[in-house]
Amino acid sequence: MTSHSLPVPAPQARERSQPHVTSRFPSLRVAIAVFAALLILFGWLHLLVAMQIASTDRLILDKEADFDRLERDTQVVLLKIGWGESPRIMEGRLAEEGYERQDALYLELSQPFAKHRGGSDGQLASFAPSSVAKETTASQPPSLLESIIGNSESVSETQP
Amino acid sequence: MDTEKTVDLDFRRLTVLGLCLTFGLAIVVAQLIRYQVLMHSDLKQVAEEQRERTTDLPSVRGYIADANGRILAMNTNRWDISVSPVLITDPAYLASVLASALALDGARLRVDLRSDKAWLPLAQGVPQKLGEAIAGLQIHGIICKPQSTRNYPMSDLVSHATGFVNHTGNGFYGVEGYYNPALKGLSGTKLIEIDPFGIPIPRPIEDYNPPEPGANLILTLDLNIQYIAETELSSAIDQFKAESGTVIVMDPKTGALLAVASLPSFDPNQFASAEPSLLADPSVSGMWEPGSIFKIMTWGAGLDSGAITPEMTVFDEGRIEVGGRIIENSDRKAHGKVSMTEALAHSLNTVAAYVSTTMGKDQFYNYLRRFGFGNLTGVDLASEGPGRMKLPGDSDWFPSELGTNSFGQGIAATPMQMITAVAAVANQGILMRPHIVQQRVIEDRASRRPRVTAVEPVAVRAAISAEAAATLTDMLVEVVEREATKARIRGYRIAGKTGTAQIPTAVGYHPTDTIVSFVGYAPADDPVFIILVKLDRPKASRWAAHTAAPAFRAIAQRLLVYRQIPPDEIRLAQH
Repeated sequence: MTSHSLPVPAPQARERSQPHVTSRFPSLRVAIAVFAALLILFGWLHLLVAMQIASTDRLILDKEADFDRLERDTQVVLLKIGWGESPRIMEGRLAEEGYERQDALYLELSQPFAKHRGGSDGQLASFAPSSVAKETTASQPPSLLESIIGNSESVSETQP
Repeated sequence: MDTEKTVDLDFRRLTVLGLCLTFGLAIVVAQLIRYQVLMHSDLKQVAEEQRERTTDLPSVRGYIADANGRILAMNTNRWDISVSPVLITDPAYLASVLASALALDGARLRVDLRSDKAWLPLAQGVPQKLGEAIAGLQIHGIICKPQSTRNYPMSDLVSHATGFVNHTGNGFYGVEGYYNPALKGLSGTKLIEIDPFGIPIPRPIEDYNPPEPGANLILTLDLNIQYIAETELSSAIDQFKAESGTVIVMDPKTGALLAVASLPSFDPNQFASAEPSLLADPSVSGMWEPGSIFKIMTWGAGLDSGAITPEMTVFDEGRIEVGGRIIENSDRKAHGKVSMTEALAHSLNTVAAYVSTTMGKDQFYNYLRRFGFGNLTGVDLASEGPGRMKLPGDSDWFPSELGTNSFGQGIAATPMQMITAVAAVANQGILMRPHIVQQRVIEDRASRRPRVTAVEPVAVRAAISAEAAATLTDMLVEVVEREATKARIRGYRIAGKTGTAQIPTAVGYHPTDTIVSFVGYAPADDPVFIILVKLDRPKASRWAAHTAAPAFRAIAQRLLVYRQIPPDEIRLAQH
């Protein structure tokens, strides 16, 4: 009986339960490891993207600053052009260089001013007086309008 | 049994631990619910206030250019320089740098920079290059802020037409005042995140509402014509010893303003130091009794209504009684039998009163309304006045005014109203709305391309018939040929009329001082421009025929050359 009274050692129970524990823990460890790995991966990716965004943003800010500076420079140049285009400043400079503004000067034409009606583009073509025009001029000075009409007619007569 | 006891004990411990953890978890969950759900909105607001800042993005004010694209108003940047002395590590060095750059007292600046002030303004309106150079130093504690300022490269040349922009960025008078909302645009906002030290975190912009730039305005005004108008007006003021003057040049067919000049003027770059009375544009806000140039309206109304014809004759006795008041001619003479054309050429007040009384008050004032008197012209320049025209039925209208109004007394008009009304005669009787902006250019936000909106001419109404207008034009040519000979230009038919107006005072009209004017257009049969010249209180002569008429001639002569308008005979032969 005494031999029977020998207690079954507790380790036996441990031995029995050990495989039970080990069978559960590896899957948990794997799950934790996978989770941690995913977390690290996610964090790394997030960091990567965040860095990319940050650097791009910085680049944009720099470009914007450059653009603003160029725009400011352009405005300064435009202002200088504006000053240069001021008629008052231009006239002042011209006066400094000895130029003077001339009043309108109308030339008295000794010969009739003719319009070439036969021409395709209607350009003013001839100053040559016709004999008719010469006679008219000699007898009585015609008005400019009469001269034009008279000369135009004489020109048209010479056209084929 | 011991084993069972041990297992029981372990189970109890686990249960207690589990309960403790569950309790702890429950507390955490409860707190989470409290913070995340119950206090969500409050905490979110607190957090946003701590880490988010809304920055205003100012819009860029549009520029103003003349018809040829020359800049009349634009923006440049100037810098405001300030410093935070508490952040400065080397005050002596910084004081020496800034004192020489900004022309400040070095010793005093050194003392200021050693103080414990949080902020100290150093200079405002620092030029672009210098401001950028100081900003480029990137010294911790220096604050360089670019400020947009309005510049007018033409200085006082077009000042009344452009107006000016004050330090708040708002436009006053002229185009700047009238188109202020359009020029100003809409400011935007940018939401940024900041770190605990207040430094912006470079990250995608959470909320970006870009500013809408102001519209650029292209005017009908031609800088060359403006210059001609201003230089000739200045010469006329000097020559005839006038106090001030106004010249308006308009295209009568469209109502487009080609020049709007008033002297004395001011420099819009320095508007703060200008005399306040000079800021308003006299061409739209200054009223005067127009005098005899108003007879154009009376004759126009008479011709259109059929009350008169050019050949119709009347006997001028030198005086006429209207509403109990005796009206006399300006020369105090009787001219006997005269035709309507002669009466207009001699500018007879008695005949003008005869025309208006023949028409009757209802018809006469109806025509004046049709010519636009008593109302705003609608010109796109700020601070326009409506003039003053009393009407039958008004408490201060007297029957005698039917007579006096016919020759431009007892009625007040602005130069813009006057030229617009006469332009209707030049434009076959059609009254056009005067305008100074021909195009609005807005940058399209999506395509980043300019979108051009043309301002079309607006015909307001037919003031008189085309036939009456043509007849009146012929009569006005006769006026220039016979009486206003100093307005004549060889080779061109000019239609026009002089006006010598007395100046009303508190005790009647001023005995000597006058306001002289001339309004005329050329070429008379197909007008390209109409010019109004007005000179205030000329001392050299009190008559328009000797002052305003030659001033008109000087401007018109240069304009004919500038616009390359050949003499009438050549021009008509070409057609």
